[in-house]
Amino acid sequence: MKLPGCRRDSHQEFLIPSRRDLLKSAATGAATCALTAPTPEAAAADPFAGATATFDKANQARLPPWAFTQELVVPRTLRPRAMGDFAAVDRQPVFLPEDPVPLGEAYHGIAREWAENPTAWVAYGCDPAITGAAAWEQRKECFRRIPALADIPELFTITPTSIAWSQRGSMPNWNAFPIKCYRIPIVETLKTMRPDAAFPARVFTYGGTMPGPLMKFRIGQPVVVRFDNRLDTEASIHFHGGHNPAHADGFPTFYVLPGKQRDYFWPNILPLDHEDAGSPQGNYLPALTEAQSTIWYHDHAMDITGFNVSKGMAGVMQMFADWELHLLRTHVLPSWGEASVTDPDQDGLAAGVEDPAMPGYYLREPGKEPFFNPFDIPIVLQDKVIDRTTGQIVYDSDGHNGYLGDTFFANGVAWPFKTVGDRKYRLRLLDGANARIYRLRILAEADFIRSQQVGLGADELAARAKPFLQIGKDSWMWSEALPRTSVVLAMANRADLIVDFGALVGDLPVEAGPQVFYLVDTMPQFDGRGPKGKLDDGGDPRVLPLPFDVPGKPLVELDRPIALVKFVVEREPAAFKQAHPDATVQAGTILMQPRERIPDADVVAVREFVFERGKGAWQVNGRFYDPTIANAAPPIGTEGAAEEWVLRNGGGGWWHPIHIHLESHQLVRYEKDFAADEIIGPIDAVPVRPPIDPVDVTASIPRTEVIANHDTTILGPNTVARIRMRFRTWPGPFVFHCHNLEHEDMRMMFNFEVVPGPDHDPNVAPAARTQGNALTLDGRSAIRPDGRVGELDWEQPPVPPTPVREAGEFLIDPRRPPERP
Amino acid sequence: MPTVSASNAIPTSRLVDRIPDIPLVNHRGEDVRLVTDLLAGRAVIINSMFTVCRGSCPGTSQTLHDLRPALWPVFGPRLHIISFTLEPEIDTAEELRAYAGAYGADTRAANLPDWQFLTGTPAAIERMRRGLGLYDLDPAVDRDPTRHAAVLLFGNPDKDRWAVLPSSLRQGLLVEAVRRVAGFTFEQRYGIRG
Ligand SMILES: [Cu+2]
Repeated sequence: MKLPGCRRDSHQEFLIPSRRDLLKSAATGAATCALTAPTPEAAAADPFAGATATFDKANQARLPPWAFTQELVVPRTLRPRAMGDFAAVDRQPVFLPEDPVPLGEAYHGIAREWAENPTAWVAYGCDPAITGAAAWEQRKECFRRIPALADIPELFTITPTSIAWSQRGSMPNWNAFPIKCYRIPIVETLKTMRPDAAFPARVFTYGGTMPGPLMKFRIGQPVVVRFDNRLDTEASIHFHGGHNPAHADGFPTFYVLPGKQRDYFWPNILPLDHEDAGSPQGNYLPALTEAQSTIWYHDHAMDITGFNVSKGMAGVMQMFADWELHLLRTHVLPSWGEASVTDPDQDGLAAGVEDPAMPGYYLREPGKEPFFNPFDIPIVLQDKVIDRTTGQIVYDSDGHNGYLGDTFFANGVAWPFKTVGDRKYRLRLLDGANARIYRLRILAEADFIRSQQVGLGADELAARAKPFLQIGKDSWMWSEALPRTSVVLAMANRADLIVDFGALVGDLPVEAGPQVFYLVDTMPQFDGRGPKGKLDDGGDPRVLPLPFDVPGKPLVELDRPIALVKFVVEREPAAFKQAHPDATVQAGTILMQPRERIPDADVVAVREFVFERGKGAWQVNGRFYDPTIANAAPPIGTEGAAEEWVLRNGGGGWWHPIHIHLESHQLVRYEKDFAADEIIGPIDAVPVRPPIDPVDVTASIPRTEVIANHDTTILGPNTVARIRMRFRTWPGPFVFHCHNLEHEDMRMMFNFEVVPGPDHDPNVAPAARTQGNALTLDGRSAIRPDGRVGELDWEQPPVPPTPVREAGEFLIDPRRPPERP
Repeated sequence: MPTVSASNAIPTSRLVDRIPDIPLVNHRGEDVRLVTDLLAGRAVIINSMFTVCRGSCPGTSQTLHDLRPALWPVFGPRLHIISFTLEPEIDTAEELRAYAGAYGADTRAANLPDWQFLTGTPAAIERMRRGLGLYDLDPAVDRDPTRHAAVLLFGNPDKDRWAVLPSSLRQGLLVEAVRRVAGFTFEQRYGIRG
């Protein structure tokens, strides 16, 4: 739909193009006036006008005059309240004086994942025949001593182009470091979201800040966080991209109820991989390539995750593996030298490291803050609707399709600026938005201004975008640094980037003064459906549903990008440069051991999941999420067993970033049915099945990325992703779901219940439920004596118990609970 | 990082603050206001329907019919069920009353949550539908009442706690979710004492 005679020849408003301008001109290179966004005049004519709120979602990219006047805030690093080995903290009142409850008592007793010994754990000396409380007792002993995994002096062989382990299995693993015990109240806090807001907003925060406090620890360092929920909403905290027990993973119905608290125990161990060759450690060795780096945590409560996260419940964590520390120490990655690789609290709580002005948090100084690194900047990108009249965060879910905002935040600050030096920085970006998919580029100031005035065509945009490196995606670093000029970030995705601000200003004379660059979003997205691929018709649901460019079919981009963060680059004095050498990483630098493709022979089961709209909500395989049943029951793989999952998008123009808990997955094949795009009709159209002409576009993704670890993979319409993963370490219930939080809340989610032994036939319907009863042992039976199912009372039951007869067909005989010792 | 407890002076921007007090008519012929009479102070379940619907409406209405006795012991009179028509020109109060009769809701019941069927001017219905987020992004789907979403919007307007779920979920799950999201007290919400 195009209307003739509506061309606009120039933009009189500097830096404030409207959404309509963006839409129109990106499509055609010239403006047309074809869209139907409501105008202020139309709103004024509304007979029912008079609502108390004002916000401006239609002009979401419009920059206010005060944009880039507030500085980017990097979340402060939280300090553990107590540290020690297991015996020193378990069942001890470590949070005195204000909280006398001993550590672990706010836990849920012995969950099943603690009460069964998976076969693979013989590597630790656990006996699979021992179950129940006895298994828990035995594990405490086994995990504390793993002599074969300790004290290997030379971990790496480093050359300028390679890094190799001298011996596999030399990583410290479980309990290699003292347990860090944190306590985080979940509280309502006042925060001014925009300078032009009339009042501060009531935000939901972890520990009083938005985003929540940064936490840093080593791989192999167990962490307990007691979340103390003081909100009037139930919460469940998900450790996103980690490998941790089900009861500490943020399963949707394992709540922290209002006024209650719950101890989340994250051992932060590496999963074990099977080695045919064997070794002195046995046949199971820690999978070194699974060591996480950039983690985030956020709310995952049933049905209300979108609301809770939009109100502020998200934060970032960083985990450090030995080789990452090595890369920091040797200045391959940006670092402050020795201070960036040490934790003053490594062996226990040290003195003088806490900020007196901010009790509970570290001083942000070298030698005080663990892994101090001003050249490593976590950036949480979010968009929210802010009501200017009241200053509040408005949860306006756009017809429950996906929440988009009118105000763009980085680390909770609207349109911030950040002053940096002329050197390499590591920017760890997180898409913490409910439903926005970003395509990020970096533009120099002059190019950005030009883009806002006259727009940049696709070729010009690509040519003028500044280069950077990507060294990781989601939780994990990549095996080598790849050159990039843009990166697509779907909800929950992280991108680990190296931006060389020194090179960006390199050929300019020092007298030119500070130089300005903008981190911009070029993704044309105007509703919860996802980015658009065609901009000439506002009602056309057809999009180009790939998260990356394919030759001949590149992604459509906004010719007037949305600015997110302004970087001001200042020259560093020579002495400073001398004292703090720049990082040496460049395109092609080897960063860690390359991953290996999971071979076909290891695949013991293939499962297909179709993600589609149905009945006005969202479904997987034609079903809505039911937390009480398991939709898949992969066994903990022995001898390298793996599963292949086929994730299929059911169409309708929707984008669904699919997040799988517990395990990283590897991309095997990415197929796109371009022909089906052409016949897709209205949003609720029946998906095109079988596909018309699926094209394998995997080759358009660098192999380093394909084979890397992912925890969230984007599915555009008529797209099929084949992924492989191994299920390791933790039995129990986990979920996988669309990370458009509104879709997730409207039940586009499934359970997979990992079962502990290899004797489970993956083709047999899972005999499991996840309401909690089958997960709690210590002598309690799956069906309670009162004839009800549900988490037990002593465990802070999250739901009203359901009569057994009501569970009906969903009540499958639970596995026999182990004998009580 | 102060935790502010005395923040009463700060206005809220809840759904009920943002949506106008739209005038409507219920199936008993009574004039009602959306916020004052239907949302304020109550827990609510809301769906859209129209009387000649042969698609999802009968199933959804049956679900609501079945939910009434299940939720009465928990909420008593503090829970309202609201079904508003997508065809206000056709569905008069009389039409809605006849429809309600098929589900035993034409008159007030002493021991069941009140269930009102609502109509109004097309502009009023449109504004309510938009304000509650019960619309489809695709204009073609949105214009066609036969393709409306088979979902229940439920919540506690005063607390601004809301959720949307497909009406075809089994009743046990719906009861749990409505209790948890729309409940006033800890016990109502979670089935145990706080
Ligand atoms: Cu989705």
